[in-house]
Amino acid sequence: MKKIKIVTGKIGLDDHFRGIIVVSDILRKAGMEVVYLGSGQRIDAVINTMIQEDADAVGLSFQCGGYLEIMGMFMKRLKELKMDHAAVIIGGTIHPHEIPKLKELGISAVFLPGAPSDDIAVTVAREVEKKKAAA
Amino acid sequence: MIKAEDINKKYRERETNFSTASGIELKNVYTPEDIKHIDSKEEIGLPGEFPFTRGHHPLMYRGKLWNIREIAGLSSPKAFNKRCKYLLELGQGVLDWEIDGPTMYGIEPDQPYAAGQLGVTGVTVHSRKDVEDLCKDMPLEALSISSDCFYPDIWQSYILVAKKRGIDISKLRGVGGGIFYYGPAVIPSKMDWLLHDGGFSTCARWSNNFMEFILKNMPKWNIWFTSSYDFREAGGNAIHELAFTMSIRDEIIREMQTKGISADAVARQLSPVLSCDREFFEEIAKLRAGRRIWAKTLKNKFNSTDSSAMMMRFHIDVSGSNYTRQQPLMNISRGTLGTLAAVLGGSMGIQNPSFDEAWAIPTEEAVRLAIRTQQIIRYESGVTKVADPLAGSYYVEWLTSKIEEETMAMYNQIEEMGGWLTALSSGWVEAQLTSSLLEVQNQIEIGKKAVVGVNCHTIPEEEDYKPEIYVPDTTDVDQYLKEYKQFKEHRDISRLKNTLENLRNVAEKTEDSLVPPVFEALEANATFPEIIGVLRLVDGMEYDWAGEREYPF
Repeated sequence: MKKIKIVTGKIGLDDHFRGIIVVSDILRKAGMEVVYLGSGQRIDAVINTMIQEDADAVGLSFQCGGYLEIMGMFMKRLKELKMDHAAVIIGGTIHPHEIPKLKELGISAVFLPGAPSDDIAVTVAREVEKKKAAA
Repeated sequence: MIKAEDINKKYRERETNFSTASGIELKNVYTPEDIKHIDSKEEIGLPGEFPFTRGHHPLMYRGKLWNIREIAGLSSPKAFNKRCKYLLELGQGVLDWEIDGPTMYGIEPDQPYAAGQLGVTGVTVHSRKDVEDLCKDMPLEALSISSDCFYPDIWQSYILVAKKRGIDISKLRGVGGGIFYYGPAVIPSKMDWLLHDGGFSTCARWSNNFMEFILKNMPKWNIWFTSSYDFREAGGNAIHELAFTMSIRDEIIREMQTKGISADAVARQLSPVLSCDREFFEEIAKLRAGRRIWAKTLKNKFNSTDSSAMMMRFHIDVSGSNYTRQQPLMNISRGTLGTLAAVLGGSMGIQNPSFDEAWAIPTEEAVRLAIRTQQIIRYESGVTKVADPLAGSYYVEWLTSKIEEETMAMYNQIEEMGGWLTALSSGWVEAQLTSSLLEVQNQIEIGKKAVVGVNCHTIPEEEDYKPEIYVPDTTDVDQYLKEYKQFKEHRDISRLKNTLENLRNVAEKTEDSLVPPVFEALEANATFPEIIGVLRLVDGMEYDWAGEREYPF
């Protein structure tokens, strides 16, 4: 079976990257191919990497707010660039009451600080499968 | 059903981890044998005397308590001005300004990329007028102010505001300016902010010019030259933290020496921010070792003769990345341990994160608790009554020397690579931090490193304490955006254009300092993103970091 390929990184003006490095490592250990972009990325740079790498998913992390606005722009652009068949997973210091709004934007899963490693890997795999089945 | 064997097991539970957080192996007990290689007079000495192992001042906290400097920043400059006054009323003696993402990155507050992040993780500041609003009714001549903002725009505006009030800038006190050298270590994607075409970027040149300006005009101002705290937050250990700090210091000293400023004159005004985590004795020993290394290397490498230069002045940010979302009230205990370590290590200033930081931006109540924690240590614990109370402990002195030894090995290794900038641009620094981070995470995963509430002593989520969450009030920011638009529309466009073009010319065609033309641009009401944008253009970078705005002239 083909390895799941996921692009990870941080968009925008937030450089708290500790979480996303750890999550990237968790996914790698779970057998996925991870393309880690680092922090301070622009939306188009992330999506272009997803296109070039033919990624199954993208994982983004937020510790400084702005996730509703940024993810709104990101999901719009993802559709425009025809990459919305990929699963979008985010995590970080996200207010629990805003998770439903993020799901409405089309985000597959949201992880909060302290999410168990196994849970993260299993969820990513499941959401990628769901997206593939729906395509 | 409580079983007898479980009780027995708990009763007999013992420590099983015999190394420090940075991996130093520990023995069961330390005796005079372990410290006989340490010359008590030369290496330990007295507080306030070379090599400053025991502290920066003979009286330590009997002479002056540490500054309580809870980091703060939110909303618009006008709204944040009120929060600053609240903090001063609570008993803070200094202010530590946090700026928001758009300000840190130097983008305009009204562009799409700034949406949702304006005034969220810090105050939003984009012009000299904003700094004026921020400082309204505050006695700048008495205040010590600090911030880890990258670009010198805020400080140059601060200087202009002070001058307008008739304050002699040589009297201004603060900690800021000069963090370009460390930034890309924790944010590798910002390497082009620091280095360009084999040398400094134009923005980094501006930062160098500003350091020179401080050193020549503002003797009471300390240069915040590295947030070494961030090395720890990015996964590094105590050895990385100290070794990187010293290497960056050397790089800045060498750069300032090319401007005709002596090593002593530079070191007198350099101030790093260090971290304190919960590994109590290692953090204390690290601060003692740090002061000793700073003093000895300045003397040996730069022939320093000035005791004020050889005394490392620093403040502590207590580690926040180890705060847990689970059972968040435990974070008050974690903060207390870190704060106490900072005090016993002789810190001159402390910021202790609020307990709810793994959930959101702190509420006012959480910030007050963090300040009160510091005040309990100050006024109730009694630990401030004697300078360096742990000196002479076989263990603490041995550990201090051991950390010095390991730090010196890494510091020399960096020097052999060609110095900090080479080690940084080669990717070595990033690799060190990442591997250390993953190692620590692995230890947590396999249970070797305990994190209470995460990998032991957990409770079901539904039983857990749910803190009240701070939700930013965006009304002030909306009002700010309206005023910002008006401010930009009412500028003298031809004067603005002239000053920006002049700045660009000076940057492109001369080796002159960029500080004077930036002052002129700020006086002509140039916004910070306009100034940064022009300097980015000089290096062939996009005018706007986000690629959303074009240079208007």
